[in-house]
Amino acid sequence: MDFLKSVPGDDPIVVEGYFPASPERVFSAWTDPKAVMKWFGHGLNSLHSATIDLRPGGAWSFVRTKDAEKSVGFEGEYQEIAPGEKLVFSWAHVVFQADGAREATPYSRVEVTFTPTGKGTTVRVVHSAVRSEDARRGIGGGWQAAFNCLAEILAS
Amino acid sequence: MENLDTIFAALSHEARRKILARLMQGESRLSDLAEPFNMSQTAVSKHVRVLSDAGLLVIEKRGRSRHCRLNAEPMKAATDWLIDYQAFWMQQFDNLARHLAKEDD
Repeated sequence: MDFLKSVPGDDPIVVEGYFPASPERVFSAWTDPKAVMKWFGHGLNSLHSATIDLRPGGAWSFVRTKDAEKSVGFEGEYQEIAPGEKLVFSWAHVVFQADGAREATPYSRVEVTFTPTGKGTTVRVVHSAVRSEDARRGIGGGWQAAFNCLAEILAS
Repeated sequence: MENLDTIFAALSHEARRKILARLMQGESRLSDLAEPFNMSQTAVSKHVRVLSDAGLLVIEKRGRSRHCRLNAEPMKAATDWLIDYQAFWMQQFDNLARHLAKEDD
């Protein structure tokens, strides 16, 4: 399993972008389940469901797909909530089988900061502690390269 | 789900992904698989066995030759777990930008 060496398991994933909206509005897009439903996932309005208990220790769950066999999504707990400024939550990738079996990756950590910039907001996501276990399951940067042909195979 | 590790291990080798990509175009005789990959028959047979153990391909014996064909079902289980988080978060940012712009309308 040589490829595992190249998996950046401990490196945080950092994505930053500017949005022409106030920090309060952008923060609300991340924390209001109705808003989350509209944008989070494969594309706009692609989520199956979103639940949010916005308080420290409160649980969140975003279900991407659900069919008769299983549901696939993400879940975790809020660790830090500073409205309009910062949101920190734990993150796991979860598959629920219809028979009740649950399989999940270990928790990683997502920190989202909202910084006023001009008339808008800079949003920075730092996804850290994506451990080798996640990589082993195929989650994380290094794996995607290993699966170039997979999408093609499944599409055909 | 219990064989997910086997599936990922099987998919982790470039030669095996190439074999799968080749079988995507249709089934092939085991003896014909080696040629385009510049691999020995022994090496190909070894890779084919790993793929077959993971359920990713099916080997059928017809007369004296063995035919390999793709079995995509286990790969569907594997894709539940496939996320490139860098690309994932970039897509989320793109979605968010589109969502906020829509709200403005």
